[in-house]
Amino acid sequence: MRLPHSPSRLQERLGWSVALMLVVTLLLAACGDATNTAAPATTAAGAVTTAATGTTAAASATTAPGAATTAAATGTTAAAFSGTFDGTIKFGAPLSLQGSLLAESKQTQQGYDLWRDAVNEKGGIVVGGKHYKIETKYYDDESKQDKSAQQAQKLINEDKVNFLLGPYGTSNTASVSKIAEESEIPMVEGNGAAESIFNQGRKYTFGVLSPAPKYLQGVIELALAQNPKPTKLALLFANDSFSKEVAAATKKFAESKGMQVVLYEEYPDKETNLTAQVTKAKQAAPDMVINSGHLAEATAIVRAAKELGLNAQAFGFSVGPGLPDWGSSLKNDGNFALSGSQWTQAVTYKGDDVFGTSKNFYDQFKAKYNVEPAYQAASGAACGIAFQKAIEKAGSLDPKKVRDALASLDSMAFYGQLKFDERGVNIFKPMVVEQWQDGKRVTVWPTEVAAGGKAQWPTPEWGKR
Amino acid sequence: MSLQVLVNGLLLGGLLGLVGLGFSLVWGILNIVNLAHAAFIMLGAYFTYYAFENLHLDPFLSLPIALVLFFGLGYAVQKFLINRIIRASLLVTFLLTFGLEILIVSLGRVVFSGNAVRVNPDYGSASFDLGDARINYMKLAGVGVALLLTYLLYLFMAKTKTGNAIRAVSMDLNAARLMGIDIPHIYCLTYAISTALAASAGMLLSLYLGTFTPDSFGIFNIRAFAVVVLGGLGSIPGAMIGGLVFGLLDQFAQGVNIGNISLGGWKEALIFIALVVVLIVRPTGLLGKEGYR
Repeated sequence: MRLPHSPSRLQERLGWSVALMLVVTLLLAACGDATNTAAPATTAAGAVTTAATGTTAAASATTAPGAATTAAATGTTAAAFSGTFDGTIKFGAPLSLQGSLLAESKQTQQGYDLWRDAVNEKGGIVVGGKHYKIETKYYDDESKQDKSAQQAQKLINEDKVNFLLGPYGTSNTASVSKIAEESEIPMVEGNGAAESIFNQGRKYTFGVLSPAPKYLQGVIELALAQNPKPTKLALLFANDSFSKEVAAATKKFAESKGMQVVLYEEYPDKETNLTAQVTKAKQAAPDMVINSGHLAEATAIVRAAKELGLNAQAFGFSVGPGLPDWGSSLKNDGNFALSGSQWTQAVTYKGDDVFGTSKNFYDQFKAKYNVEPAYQAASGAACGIAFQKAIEKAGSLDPKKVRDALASLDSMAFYGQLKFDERGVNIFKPMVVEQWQDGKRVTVWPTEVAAGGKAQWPTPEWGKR
Repeated sequence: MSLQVLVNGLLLGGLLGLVGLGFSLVWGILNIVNLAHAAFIMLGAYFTYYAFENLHLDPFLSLPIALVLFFGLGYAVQKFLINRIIRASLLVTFLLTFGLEILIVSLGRVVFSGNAVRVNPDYGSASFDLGDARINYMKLAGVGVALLLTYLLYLFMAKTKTGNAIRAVSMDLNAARLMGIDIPHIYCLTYAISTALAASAGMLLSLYLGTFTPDSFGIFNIRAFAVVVLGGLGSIPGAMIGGLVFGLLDQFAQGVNIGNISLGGWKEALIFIALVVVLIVRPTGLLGKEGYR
């Protein structure tokens, strides 16, 4: 018989196990950092290629040492901007590089990065005749709001960022907004649309998004213009502040248009099994089912609806169908779903920004990341555009002057109008509505910017799709 | 109240029973709160997904393969990691399994990506009607699998020599050692069975969730915990009973209104209140035996 656990052997083994875990953890951390920092490094290289002809490449080298050598190696490429950068403007954001908000957050970061690279390629942001290169710094907040606040503080105090870009998600944005206010550093965000963020009387937070109350208004408006016209509405919503706000506003709007809300059902945030709620919805026999929640819940509703035979003229979702995962995971079951969206690639605004048109933004994004941009990505880029316009208008990097320039900004971007009310909310841009048709997202509302898309109505029963 | 709510609760409960079963086994016999349990559930779900998408292997057919593979994986994890510190204080094993959980889920994000995926066989939504309730064949089969595995484990523990040895270890470690039982091997076997059960729970969950990502499963550690405490630590039928009670509570809280008020948003609170009540009335859980450990 063996006695495997004598004390001295145990200590030795314990030491080894702990050491092993440490090594693995460090390795992981290193990998994580590499992926986070890789993006700025490569883009800095892209930007500096234009500077390599000049003599003051050293100036860039101080801010991006690794990048300068890459630039020298790749040689010179002709571009619109032929000078050298006179300095850098640093933007920082806590983002969810892991955790439950990963898919949405990644798009946000890609939006920021695409804007940064596009602007740097054209000579950066021009302030008083000087060209400033954009740099970005991100931290991983693991989708936790206390962590976002902590990291925003770190970005301001240690990394000395000039301005803040928004994190992903309402609660995270709200906590960073507080830090921005205390530090008097402007933040433009494109992923927190809850009114609660803006009703605190803060002066340094600006949101490029249409606010939460407008989120599903388009879906209701579209529905009321169809034949047969739905009258009974079932609303299922998660109990986070954003989803609740959207649900309450949608209920109010639908009722003001003469619809009857037959089910108004709250469920725990991030719930993965919505059989009970769908059962209730089926009993209420609605003409239309609307969900205000997140991707996992939206797909759970689709699964349960198919399984329990819940049929309606239309299914609308606040989040879910706007993401590429919708089609890749649900396939045929994802068809006919309606979604309110901040932006789609089909909208036909003519902007005076670095992208100009939605098509241009879409093409550049697709070429760079090989996925379709969701509105989160466009919102991210729009944050950058708002900052760029405001900084150029202010002619200064002074946070207070840039804040004032943001407050009085009125600019048209590929994303739609960028203009803020006195709370910092962009109430001037309408929401668009998309529908999944044969595995593709089609913009179907509002008609004037929908480029010809038409809603398929009503949704066939599950057995007849 | 509708029959559908009852059906939903039982279908969810059987699944949660299986989630709790492996957790209960390791906790009861190794005295480890295995926080890596949900990570193995996640791996099981992704195994099912890749077998289905790439090899076109039906989830119910890939399950036996998963059981064998994850049995091996669990055996290795216990032999090379956990056995080395099993006699250390509870906090150390706690930290190790917590670390394993983070490690596996983080690797999962890298390897599987954070994109949502779904396992959806053609027959996935086929169902039959029983009164006014609709019952999904696939989920019913899932509960069947859960009950079968529970019964097989029960038989194994009660009838086989190895099963008796495992129980002996949980009852009195020193006496078991004096009887010549190879303790480290028994520990490995127990953890291996638990891991295989976690993987089978992952397979069933992959059929249950709308879509999933590597981050979708962390919550099942807490649920497993609740199921085990409800049902009674170390009891095999207890885990299944705990799961069914949990599932029914969950679905009743969300599916039945009190007057006009829906308790859906409060269901976690309700379940844990029920848990506290059970602990006050029966500290050993519904089927737990005093001094079994």
